[in-house]
Amino acid sequence: MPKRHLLLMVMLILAVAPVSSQTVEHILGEFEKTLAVPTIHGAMKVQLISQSGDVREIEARAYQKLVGEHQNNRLFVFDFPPTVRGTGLLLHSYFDDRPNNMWIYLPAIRRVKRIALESSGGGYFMGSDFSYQDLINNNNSNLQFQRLPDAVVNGHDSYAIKAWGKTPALQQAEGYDHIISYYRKDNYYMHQREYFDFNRDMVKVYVVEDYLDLNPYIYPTKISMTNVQTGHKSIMEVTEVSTSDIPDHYFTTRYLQNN
Amino acid sequence: MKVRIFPAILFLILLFPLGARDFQFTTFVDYYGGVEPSEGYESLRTRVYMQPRFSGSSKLGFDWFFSANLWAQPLGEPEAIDPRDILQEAYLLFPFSLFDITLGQKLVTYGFADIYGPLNALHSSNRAPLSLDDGYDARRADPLVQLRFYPTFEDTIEVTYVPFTRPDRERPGPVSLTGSGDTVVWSSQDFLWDLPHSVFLNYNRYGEKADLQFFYGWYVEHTPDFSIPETDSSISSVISPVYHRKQTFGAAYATRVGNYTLSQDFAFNLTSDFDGTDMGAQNSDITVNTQFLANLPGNILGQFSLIYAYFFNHGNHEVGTDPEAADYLATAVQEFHTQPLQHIAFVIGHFEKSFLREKLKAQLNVGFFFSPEVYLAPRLAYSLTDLWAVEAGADITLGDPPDQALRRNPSNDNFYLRLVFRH
Repeated sequence: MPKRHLLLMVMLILAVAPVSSQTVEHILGEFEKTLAVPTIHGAMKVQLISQSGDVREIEARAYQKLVGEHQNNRLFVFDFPPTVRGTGLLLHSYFDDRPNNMWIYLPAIRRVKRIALESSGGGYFMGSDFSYQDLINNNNSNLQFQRLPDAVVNGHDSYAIKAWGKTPALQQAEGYDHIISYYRKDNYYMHQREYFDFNRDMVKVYVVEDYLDLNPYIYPTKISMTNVQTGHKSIMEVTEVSTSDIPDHYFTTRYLQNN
Repeated sequence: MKVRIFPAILFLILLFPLGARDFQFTTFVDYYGGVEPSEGYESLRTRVYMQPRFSGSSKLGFDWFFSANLWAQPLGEPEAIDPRDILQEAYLLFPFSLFDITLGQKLVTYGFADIYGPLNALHSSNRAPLSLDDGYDARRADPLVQLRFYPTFEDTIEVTYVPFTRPDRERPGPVSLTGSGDTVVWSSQDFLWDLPHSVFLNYNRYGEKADLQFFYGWYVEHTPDFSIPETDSSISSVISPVYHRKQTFGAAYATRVGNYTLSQDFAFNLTSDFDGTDMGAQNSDITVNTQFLANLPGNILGQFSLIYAYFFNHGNHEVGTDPEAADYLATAVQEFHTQPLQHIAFVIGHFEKSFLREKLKAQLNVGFFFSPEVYLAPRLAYSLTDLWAVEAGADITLGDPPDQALRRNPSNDNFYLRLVFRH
């Protein structure tokens, strides 16, 4: 083989090497870095769109703050519809193996109640296509991953990763047979996710339709979740986004009761 | 009197929105029909109800809240809410960095149990609702001063002082006790003015592993005891309600067990008659409420409450000269106080499932009292729009209505239909 051919081959290998080194762990790690916005809050609106075009809305104030390396606090205070007005949902979720903590404030009975809404794979968020699992941190230690062939999705060169529960019980807890997520190659952001039921048929598709680049973080400001089996669709939009600091006392049951 | 008070209160209510930061309004029209098999069909009520709620913040650094209940029953014999029950809550909240002060009339909840909570002792309630879970006509707020101190984000120490409280709302009209020839005449007091001062202390911790509460109450019991002048069936006497102080020592916790939530409320209630000799008085007791919240297969939310109570010195009352009449009266009073035996236990199950993206919500409440009596309360609510909903339900107790002399709850079988507007 001529020397220049050998050099070309080495250069090609070197050029390809960074791509092939994109292990699942690396991709997920880079994606998690984009999520680690220290503090963010805004006005959240979820539109529930039925197959017939009937639209219902949920409005809430949403707050999120990272506490140390292992804890993420979220607070939702609902403003609309009137049946849930004043209801507050406080989530303390953890990046390690600790179970999430959830409290709900029910204004009708003036009570803060500890709950576990994400259990049994059910618990859709206020009747939308988003489940509570979609709102809290996924515990990757419960999942197995497989790198799938790269794909172009929504015009973006993407890494594709399949994930599923390590045991049947964990699969049941997740509520799906498996999930395929697509991460943009240019910024590692997960921009589409497909959920498959236990018949391995696609159930719903999560698409980030718009986002805010808060270098080095990325925050999705418009997400759709479409149930491909029922035709129902939910669109979550966050407006009036601010990264100004949120006082720690917002993520307490005291704030939940008084606001 | 009612005619004059109504316009004045309505005028005040209409003024509030001018300065309100938040305004909420609930109104409904409902109809209750009685379907007790042994009594045939009867119309129980048709009610028009309104509940405005206003809240706002003052530039002086406090928040204010105001809400009212208004109802009228125009069909049949016209009836309207007692003007003393119109004001639901009206209070000021002064928030500071480490503590809050609340001043005014407010609803306060203790313990973690949602139903039959033994620590939930602060307020009087309507003891004769048509539906046991009627949230529109249940507890009545009391005037109070409350200090809540927050030493950390997880801990709260709370002191609540209630200057005067109200008696429970019992069934109207005197009750004739055929077994003893006596008549019970209920009190018409709006407040228990002759028994001032109640104090409640509560420590609350919402921690990562568990939530905890420790509770102490020294308070006026809203449920009456009875002053029984004679226990001789040959002498007819008037039995009148009397109110006593009570102390409650309690603790509660709530924790996550796997994908479920477990909570328990424990209470030791020390009444004015620990030795149990006063036939008309409540016995002291230990009550434990164990509540288990689970997401059942099929995404059915299920909550199970097991309530157990032990009554100290049960049946120690003095018999007097007419043991038969004494036994009759003691049984009537014990059943009124829900203390029919030395030990009682019952289970309440609540099941809930939503359909059509939560537009349709179906619920079933089941009460099992370890007796032929099983209480069934199915509920359906359908959201026509985000603001309008129709609701329907029934309250069915298997078997014949109980023949308790001082029966508190008119739990004859019924059904209801309701059209609700919420803003």
